[in-house]
Amino acid sequence: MNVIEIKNLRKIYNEKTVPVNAVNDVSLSFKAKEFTAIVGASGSGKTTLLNLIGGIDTPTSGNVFINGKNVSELSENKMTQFRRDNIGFVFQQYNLLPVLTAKENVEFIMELQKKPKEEREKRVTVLLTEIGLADKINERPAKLSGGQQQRVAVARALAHKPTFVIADEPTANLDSKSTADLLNIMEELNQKEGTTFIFSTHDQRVVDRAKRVIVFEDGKVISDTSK
Amino acid sequence: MTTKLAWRNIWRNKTRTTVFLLAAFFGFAMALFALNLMKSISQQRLDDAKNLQTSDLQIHKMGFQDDKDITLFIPNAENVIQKVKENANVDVVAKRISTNAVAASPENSIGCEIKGVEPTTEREISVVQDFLVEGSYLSTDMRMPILISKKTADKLKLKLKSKIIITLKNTQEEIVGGSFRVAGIFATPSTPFDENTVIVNYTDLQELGSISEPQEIAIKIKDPTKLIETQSGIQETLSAEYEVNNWKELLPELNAFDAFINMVGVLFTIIVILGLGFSLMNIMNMIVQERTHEIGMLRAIGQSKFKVFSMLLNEAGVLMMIGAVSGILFGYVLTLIASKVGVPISSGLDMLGIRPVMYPKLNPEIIIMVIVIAKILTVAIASIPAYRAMRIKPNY
Repeated sequence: MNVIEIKNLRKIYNEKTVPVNAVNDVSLSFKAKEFTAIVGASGSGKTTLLNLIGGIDTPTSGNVFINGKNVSELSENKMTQFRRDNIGFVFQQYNLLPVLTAKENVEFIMELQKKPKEEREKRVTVLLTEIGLADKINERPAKLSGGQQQRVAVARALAHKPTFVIADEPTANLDSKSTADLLNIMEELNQKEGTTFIFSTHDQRVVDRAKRVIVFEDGKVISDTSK
Repeated sequence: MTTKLAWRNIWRNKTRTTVFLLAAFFGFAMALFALNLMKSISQQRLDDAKNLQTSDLQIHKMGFQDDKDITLFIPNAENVIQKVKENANVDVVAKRISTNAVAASPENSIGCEIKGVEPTTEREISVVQDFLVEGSYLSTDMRMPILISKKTADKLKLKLKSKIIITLKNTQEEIVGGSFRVAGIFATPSTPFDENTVIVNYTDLQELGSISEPQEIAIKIKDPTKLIETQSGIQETLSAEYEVNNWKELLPELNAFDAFINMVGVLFTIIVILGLGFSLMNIMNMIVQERTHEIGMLRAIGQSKFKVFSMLLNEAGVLMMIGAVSGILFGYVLTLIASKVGVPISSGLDMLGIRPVMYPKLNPEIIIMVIVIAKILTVAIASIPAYRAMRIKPNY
């Protein structure tokens, strides 16, 4: 069953002045548990596509269906709620809240969802153990290395058990070892948790580990291969 | 987590937060202290005037208040006093005679208001005896005793036991005079009272002015909060030829001064807190500017607009609350110390009835007013940057 279905998706910036077709009539679908890399040069439209899938941006035309629901039609408030409950995000710059500890960062979204404390704590312990940072539970991001911060970000993205995780260039700021560690963790969680992962990347190491690779150029899919 | 997050966020820039907190601390402390001092000055003027001159309520014959005509006495005064005493909130009732007179010594003469009082009851209603600097209250062992102020004594060059001639117009419209002897010299905080008043025994003045009945019945009540209620209660038991006035009506200028002080107090508080408020708004604007990216990320991962708004409002609230609570506590301690050691006030202000040293009292309503204004202004001012933050689009 398709978790995500994109139909004739188009995003045009500066429509009235100098139009830029960032995403140009793209149709794609993603199944549950997929581990997909979207590859392309800078400016090819990868991030715009992820933003449209993640409901951070609205399409000029076309629709995004998540679990059969057309999210392109949701109001801003409903979309925020939908993102909170169904989507996990991992960003290139980690974007952890600097004033919160690793534990607090991971449980933040669950707190927004008003999940009970016991459930939150249990989930945080499981995830921080999975990513190998159980001993850093009370450390703030400034005390963690880049790789460790990105692992916490992955744990945060998965804490509320989303339908899928969007990761925008998650390894761009990491060294080889941290990249390998992060990919191992994401692969493991992808299998264990059954969460769909979609990356945008131009890191060959990520591409090599992806089960499906979509090549993007000038806002269009030019190849889509599964391994 | 919201308060914890707010607390940690405000300490992200320690210098900025410390500077604001210091400003708020001193702003609130000084505002509270100054307001308490102003309120105490106003209250002291009212209390002194009430205790020295009017008491809580007064009864006169209708029209007496207009020209203080000596012939406008209170008919059947004893009956009136009996009726007044039946009111449950009435504590002390005293009758008085009051008229304009000339006080003269061999050296000088002055125009004054002469008050004839019954020493026993008057002592319970007035506080003149507390301000005696020489001699004693209207004693029975002296013939025709009179109390004069230090100012009058200086002007007329009189000492204790000196003779003083009082001349007035009696009820038969004749000019009459009497010789009194200085029994006591008082110095009250009220310059107008001191410059204008001499006090004699009720019976002496009654005899001198050929006055059969008092022109004034002064009433002290038990519960001052029931002033109006007691006033209307007494008025209802008396016929229309009697007029019952409360001290606010008898001292309209002091009442207006008190209202003015209250208004200045509110304005002063608003100005102080507004200054702090704009400083807070500046800080909040900087916070939103610095954390635009972070707020965009929070919106992206699912924090609602309302949560962003309340997060910023919370941070502003925590900042203002720390400043306000610590400042109010300090202001409280400062007022408490000042209430013991006193605050010297410019000596020229005694003309306005202000004492040279003030002992400010802590007024709980002022604390409440400061807190309420601080709360309202914090929400109003922090709402602007919080609204800006709320409009930040999801981003990362």
